[in-house]
Amino acid sequence: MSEEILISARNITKSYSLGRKKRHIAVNDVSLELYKGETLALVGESGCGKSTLARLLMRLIKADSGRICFEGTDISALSGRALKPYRKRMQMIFQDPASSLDPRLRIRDIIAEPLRVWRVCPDKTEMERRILDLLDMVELKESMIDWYPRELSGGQKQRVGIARAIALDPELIICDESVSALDVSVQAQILNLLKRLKKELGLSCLFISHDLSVVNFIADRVCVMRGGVICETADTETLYAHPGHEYTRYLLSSIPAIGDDPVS
Amino acid sequence: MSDILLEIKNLTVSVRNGKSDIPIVKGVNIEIQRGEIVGLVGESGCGKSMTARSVMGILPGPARKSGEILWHEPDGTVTDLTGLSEKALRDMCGLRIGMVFQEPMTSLNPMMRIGDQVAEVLRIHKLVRNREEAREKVIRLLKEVGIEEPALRYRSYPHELSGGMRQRVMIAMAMIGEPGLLIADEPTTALDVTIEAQILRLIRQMCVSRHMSALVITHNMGVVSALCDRVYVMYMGRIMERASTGQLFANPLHPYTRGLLSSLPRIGKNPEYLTTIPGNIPEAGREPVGCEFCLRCSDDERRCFFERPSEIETDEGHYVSCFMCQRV
Amino acid sequence: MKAERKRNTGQELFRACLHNKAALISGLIILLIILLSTFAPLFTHYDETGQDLMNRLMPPGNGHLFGTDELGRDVFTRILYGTRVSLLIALLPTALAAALGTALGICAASFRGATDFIIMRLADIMLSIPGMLFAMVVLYTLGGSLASVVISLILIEWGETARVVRSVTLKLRESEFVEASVSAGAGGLHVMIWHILPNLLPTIIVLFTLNIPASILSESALSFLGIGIQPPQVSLGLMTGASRQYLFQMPWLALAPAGMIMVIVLSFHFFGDALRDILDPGRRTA
Repeated sequence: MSEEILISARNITKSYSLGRKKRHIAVNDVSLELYKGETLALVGESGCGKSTLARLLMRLIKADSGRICFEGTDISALSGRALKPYRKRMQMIFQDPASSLDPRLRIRDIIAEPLRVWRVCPDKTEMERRILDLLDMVELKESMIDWYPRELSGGQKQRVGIARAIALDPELIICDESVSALDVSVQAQILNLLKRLKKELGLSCLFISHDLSVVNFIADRVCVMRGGVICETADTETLYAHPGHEYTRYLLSSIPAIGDDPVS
Repeated sequence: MSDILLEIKNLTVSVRNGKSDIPIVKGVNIEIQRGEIVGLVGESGCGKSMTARSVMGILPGPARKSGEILWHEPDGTVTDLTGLSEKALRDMCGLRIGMVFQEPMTSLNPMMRIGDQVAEVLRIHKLVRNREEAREKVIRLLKEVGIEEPALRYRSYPHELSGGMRQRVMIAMAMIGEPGLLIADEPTTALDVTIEAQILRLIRQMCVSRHMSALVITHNMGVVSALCDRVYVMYMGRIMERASTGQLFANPLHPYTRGLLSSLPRIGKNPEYLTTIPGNIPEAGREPVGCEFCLRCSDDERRCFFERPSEIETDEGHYVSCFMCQRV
Repeated sequence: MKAERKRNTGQELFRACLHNKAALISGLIILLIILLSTFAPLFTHYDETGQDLMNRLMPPGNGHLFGTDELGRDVFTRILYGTRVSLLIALLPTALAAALGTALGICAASFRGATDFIIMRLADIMLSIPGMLFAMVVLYTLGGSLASVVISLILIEWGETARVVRSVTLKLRESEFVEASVSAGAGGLHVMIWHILPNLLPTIIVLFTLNIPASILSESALSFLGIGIQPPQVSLGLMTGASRQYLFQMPWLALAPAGMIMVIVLSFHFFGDALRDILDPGRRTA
């Protein structure tokens, strides 16, 4: 992990209108930075604004105010064409593996989509080789290249989602509850895969989750969010050993312990 | 203590798919003692929900079941729920067995005040003489399940409540007929951790204070550990291991149970990589002839592929279906 | 196994139709009707306008399968030729309306704002006027002819398609796979062609097949009232209308074309229903 900042948010705010004069503030004056090569986790309960914050960083939605800097460049004001180069460098892995894959496309076309958009592979054989490489990286069989998403299990679909996200060699991967919808045994496989890929490809990762035990496994640093604000940021070890904020302590104490785990 | 409340004997559920019957639950035996909280844990598609639904007689259309589901009254009479008429089973369900579902939003009627919904069971089974008595009873119960200002909340609609509150209302609905058994199907899966902890505590409290039993269906080992006295581990329609919660977590025997527990990321243990169960859950109907788990098992031997292990008792109350455990 | 996976959507659809009884039977009937009317001269040696005043109002038999009408024309021949018009009416305005409705629906969903408002209010207006009444106004203005029937049917039908397409598009645009595509850097047009249109297709096909019987019925009704297709052109509705005065003495004159309308409408209706079942992704499995 280096000290270089990859992406940072400065005082960003996003609110949604709830009809007449009422507004819901999803993200309220939040600042955070993500260093190169680290995994930063955003933790909080549903509705705390963690997903909104991730989409703000990716510029999938526009902030009301505040700045987002990618390697020092302010991208919060960019739009359309000027933003496109940054899109290539940040990719997202979604929560629901079923709905994040277009049911009418083959696995081949799903993974090829970012390659096509960026014209990365000029000829067909090279494209094919790249897709097979990616399938291999996420531990899927090469024969699955012509399958449809409905023929895959949940875990396999999520692997396709990961292959699509790393297709363009991005620098930042944002995982939005990427393992929450999976069964325990599959979740462990995907977590290991993410950790291995992150190491091998030198990725930085923003990991959004509500599950503190998963975060404990994968993250280097943790941001705890509540009601649109960050209440605590700390190293993973420090946070779990000596939670500073009262809310963090409350969250930690709520996790049901398994067998004779040391927690609670 | 051998004060049995409910006994599921050799329950088999199969779903018709085209021309063939695909077994989802295969000869499951479960016993629930009076006052005991039993967990049924497994991954999606293992048949745990189907098992619970068989008890309530609410299987989806194309499913067929066989086997016995025996209900023991305190006076010693035994009823087989599978032999009951629809009407008799309905009476049973509201009064002796209550059910809590996973999704509190879709299992509550959005157009009905929550108080009236909770009171519905009282009205259907004519447990109260008049509206006033019903209202009083419902308000007392709402208060007991931790809803503040119950008299005011009586008139609320489901959408006006938070997820946790709705689940409390669901629990009140299941409890109003004062059942002997509560069946909870993934009661906290849709909820946040902090709310989950509260709901688990509430279910525990209700069981203790009313000497009620519960069958908790879940995929979450944490829920099992926090709530249950005994656990059944299910994989592909079969019970792989059953033991008291303490025994299971201290000394898991079946390779599947061990695999599940080691794939859980846990706070306080920080391995570089998690130990996983290799492979995927096979599609229903395409499982091996022998032990269902043999394809993913790390210490399988030849006969696991052709023979199905029978259940053996390794310790008092600790049963496991695995050839590898017999030698120990 | 490998060969099976290579099939494209069209071939898959064809195979699914072969396996679905309702789709197979109604599809075959539609095919038969199309062949009969397209190659009408091969199946009859009469002329659809050829009068034979010596043999007026003959009962079925005697070389005339369904008898002859008040001018001695062979009813069977006229039904074959009338079916041509009905099929044209079934397919042309419905297809044009589907294309127009889809385009406008996608525009409304993509641009939102004022465009959305204007298109959708127009659709609302069209949907709130009884279709037949509207068609009658158009036909009185433009005069009864094949072209004006087509125009009025397009105007009646586009609104519903636009509505449905808009709502489905809005839902698709919110889906995670579209979000994934956008975050990969894809532009609006790419998303439209790769993700929105293919996923809209089943909806459009179903709407299309269900609109076909409606078109045929509307044309028949308009012609029956005498404001649709004008003689000497033949149409099934026109024939039914012209023979209503003989309904009790010579019922075959009205019943034969009316029966044909029924057969065509029901076949398309069942075909559309079956397609909806086949295309519903929930029912499709690997």
